[in-house]
Amino acid sequence: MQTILQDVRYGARALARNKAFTAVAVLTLALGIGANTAIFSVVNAVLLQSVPYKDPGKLVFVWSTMISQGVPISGSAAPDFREWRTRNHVFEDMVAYTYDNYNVALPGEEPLRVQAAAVSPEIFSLLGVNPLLGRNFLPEEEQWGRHRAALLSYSFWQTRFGGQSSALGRNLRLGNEEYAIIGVMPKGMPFFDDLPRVDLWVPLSYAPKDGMNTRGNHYLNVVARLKPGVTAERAGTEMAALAKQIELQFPENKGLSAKVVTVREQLVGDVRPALLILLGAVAFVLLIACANIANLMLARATSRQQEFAVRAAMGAGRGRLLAQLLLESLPIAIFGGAAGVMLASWGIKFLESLIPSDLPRFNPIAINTSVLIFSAAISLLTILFLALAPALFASKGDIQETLREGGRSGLEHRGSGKLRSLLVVSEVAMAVLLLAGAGLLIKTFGALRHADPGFSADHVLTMQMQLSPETDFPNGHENAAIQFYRDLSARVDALPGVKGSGITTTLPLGFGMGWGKYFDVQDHTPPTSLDNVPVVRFQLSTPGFLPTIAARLRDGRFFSQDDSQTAPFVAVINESLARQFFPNESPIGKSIRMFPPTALLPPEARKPETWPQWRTVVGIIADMKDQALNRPAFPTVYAPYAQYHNEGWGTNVFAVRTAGDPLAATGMIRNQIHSLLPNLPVAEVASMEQLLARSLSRARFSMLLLSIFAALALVLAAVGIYGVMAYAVAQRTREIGVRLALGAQPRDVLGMVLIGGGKLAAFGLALGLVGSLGMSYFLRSQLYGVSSTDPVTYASVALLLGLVALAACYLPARRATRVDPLVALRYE
Amino acid sequence: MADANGTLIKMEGVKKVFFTDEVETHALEEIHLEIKKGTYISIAGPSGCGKSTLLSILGLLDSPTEGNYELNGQPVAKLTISERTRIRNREIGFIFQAFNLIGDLTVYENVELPLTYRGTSSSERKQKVQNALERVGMAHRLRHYPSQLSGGQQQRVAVARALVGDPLILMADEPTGNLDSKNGEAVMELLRDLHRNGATICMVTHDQRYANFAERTIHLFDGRIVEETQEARVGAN
Repeated sequence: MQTILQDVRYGARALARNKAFTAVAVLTLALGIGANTAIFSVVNAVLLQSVPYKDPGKLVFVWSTMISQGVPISGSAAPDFREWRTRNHVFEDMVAYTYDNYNVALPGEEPLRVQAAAVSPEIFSLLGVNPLLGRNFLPEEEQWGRHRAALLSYSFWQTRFGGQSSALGRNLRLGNEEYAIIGVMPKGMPFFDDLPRVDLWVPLSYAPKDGMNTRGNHYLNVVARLKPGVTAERAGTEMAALAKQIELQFPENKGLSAKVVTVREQLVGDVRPALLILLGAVAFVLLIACANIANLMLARATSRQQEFAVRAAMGAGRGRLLAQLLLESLPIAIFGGAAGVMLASWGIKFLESLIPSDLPRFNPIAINTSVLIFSAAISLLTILFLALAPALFASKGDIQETLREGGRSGLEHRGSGKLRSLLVVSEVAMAVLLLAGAGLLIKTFGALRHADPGFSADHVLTMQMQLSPETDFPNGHENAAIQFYRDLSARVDALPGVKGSGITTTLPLGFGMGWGKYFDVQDHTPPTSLDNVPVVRFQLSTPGFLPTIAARLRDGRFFSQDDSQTAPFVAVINESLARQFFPNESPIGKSIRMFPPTALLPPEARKPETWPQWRTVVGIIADMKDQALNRPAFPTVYAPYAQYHNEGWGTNVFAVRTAGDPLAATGMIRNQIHSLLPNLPVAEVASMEQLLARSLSRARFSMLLLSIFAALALVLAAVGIYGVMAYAVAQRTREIGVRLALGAQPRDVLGMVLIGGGKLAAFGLALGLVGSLGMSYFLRSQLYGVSSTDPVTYASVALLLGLVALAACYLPARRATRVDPLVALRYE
Repeated sequence: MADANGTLIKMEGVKKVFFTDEVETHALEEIHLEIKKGTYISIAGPSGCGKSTLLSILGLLDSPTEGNYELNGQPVAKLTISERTRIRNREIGFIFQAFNLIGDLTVYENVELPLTYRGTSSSERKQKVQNALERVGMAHRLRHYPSQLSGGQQQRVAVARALVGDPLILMADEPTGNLDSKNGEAVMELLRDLHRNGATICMVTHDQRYANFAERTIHLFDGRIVEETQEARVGAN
């Protein structure tokens, strides 16, 4: 023990004496550990830590699928959910939920729109979460009429009720119904991925003859808990078989199957590749940092050869010398690790500002115990690895020769020089990998930014409104919403600086709810069965909407005010739909219907009075990216609100094109809304450019972080090359002196050092480029508009690295040219 | 080429002062020296008397603080660094006490080095290296690395490197200082043979036995030439 303490003390003293070495080693390690800790804290929160529910490994989502209609995953219909729940043998329990918005009026406050979820009453007992205050839902609260109970989220309770327990039992007006507040859920409890963040929960309940309670509306998220011993695969097989049985029983379910996905896979499946790529990138940064510190340690061990020889001569065994070097390095690990965690805590704040809004956030991103254990472990492992290599070299030296030379020969162990070169080659190669990755992501981001969304996002303001027939139009609401939108647009269009406005059900780029419907073309050969009837995207818009977002008309016309309820029904389609369904003819003038071919309907559904009207295609517009910029648009049909019976309720989006800054017009437009409906909450106000930027946030996150890590790697690699070349020049001072004495010109020496460094960089570059081509496979899913083998990116990386390597070699090379040839004459 | 009198080196009133902080160290004072072509001269004296400083100035590795120095009839005071380097490469051959062979280069490559800097063609280099190594009896060790040779052999290779460019003068700084007496004697015999074949040699040594190998010895003490002895050597020229 005494010996250990003595070694640690000696190490600390030696490090204090070599301040420059210590500072560089600690700082380098801190950068590596810091970057790793910061990214690990994200990975830990998102990928490693489970959703904080009871036994989360047993939780699964159950989805509907309509493969033959091109729908790989879909929400489920309420009747199907009930069949599944009662007839399955693989789940302990099964619940469903759906998101909903309510306009809430609290006494003395402006009306606000809240995010709610309608849930099966058993959902929280299935998840194993109990309310912090009050009680859970009761099973009977699923029945219509007994359903007016609400559970509040902790933050909603804090912000709207001041965290007072007297909130329990109070009534809350949601839309036009009074709900009793029955409880408050615990602080920090996420609702699955917390996207969106829910303010309150109400029971999922259906009024008699509710159209949403039919087999045609697939919108429920179904969650189940596996029985002990049942795997997700087995559950999937059983659910598919069950769906088949239901299909036989209910012909309208033709083609409908079920799919089981674990909660973890469902929530983090699509962010996993990006996060793992970033984790891999920081691991490379740490390895590069390690290579640099290893080089420093090798240099230090070389300069201490005589000391080790003396220690060996005094009887210190190899193990003893190894232990000493390890213990001496311990302070570097401790200080480097601590500084790294400190850097990470700053880094996390920076990451928070970058993290995409759609990243699942069921756990807080923080430096917690597991992150600290991770950091401590990598710090110690790093230093173990770092100390071991020089220790082995230091203890291998020829004692007798080293002692005879008096340690002044400056000769280093032949292997240590090779190892140092190998380390630099490796770190250059790793820097190339990161640079190539960052280069490809930068190009991807550039391509996405310049990708044509199919509309013009500039000078467009968007906001969401939710009209309620009973609350907002108590005196009669037949087509009231459509009339309201018409009045609102007329008023807003008359405002100074407004170029146009319109309402729609769904904004492009995934903002809003997608709406899928069966699609049929008159006079086209119908499919042979219901499961082959195509499903296309459907959305409503007022005449002003498509011109407001500058949708590009390819043929025909947009909607007009003449497309009224009494006029012939019309539709505008996008180019994808035109290509898919009218490949060899003009769609203009053709009749389409959002309904299956009637011949395929089950007998009980053959009621012509319930069938929707045929619509004439009057216009074709360019595809607007409806999911994301890097995904193709769905075939879409647009229809006027006026020609869709009594529509416009629920959440709709108001878009306004302005001449100036769209956000500056918010107040003016809000006033117009409130002049028509004083209590209507306006939510999600954002310019279309902000929404566009939000849709790029994942790409920006990956691109920015990988670029930062690549820059860090480049700097560390440059420091590494500099360090090795500077050390080599110092070691070769006598040799350089001899060369100068023998007639070498300074340019010869300059060239010699530059070529030496250049060779290392070139080896590293070649290795890195080969490695990058291999690694680019993993990056492929993150790329858009650029090939994973893009020659321009690789050439740029090579050029950049070559220039940096040249700069890193230049200083030592210049120093070499200033060696006094007189050193050749000095013996001591 | 030497001047009409055959004078290769001419020093007049050479002085060397080192300035360290506020201390002036007078390493050489009033050195007057002439060395004719074909001479074998040794510079002897106790440690710290200025022998190596004198040799470094003679070898253009350093410059005098005062005085004139002409090498082969050319004043060296105003030469640029590049010109001095060029003269070192073409007209002077160095033999160092510590051999100063480059560990990563083979015997052949070490000897070849001065010719490389001179831009000599590969075939000519090959021939000259071969000849130089044959002259020192090391032609059989072409592919060896310095670490694979004994001290005596390493110094022979160093002598070959000094000879390979046919310099006007060989400058040897304590060439036996790192060798045992047997190897030291062998190297001195080698230098004597070279001198017999016409080489001009200027050697620094503190060992009187080896100084006696030269035909002319100047003794330095505290930076001044205090004595000069000259002996007729049998077989010279």
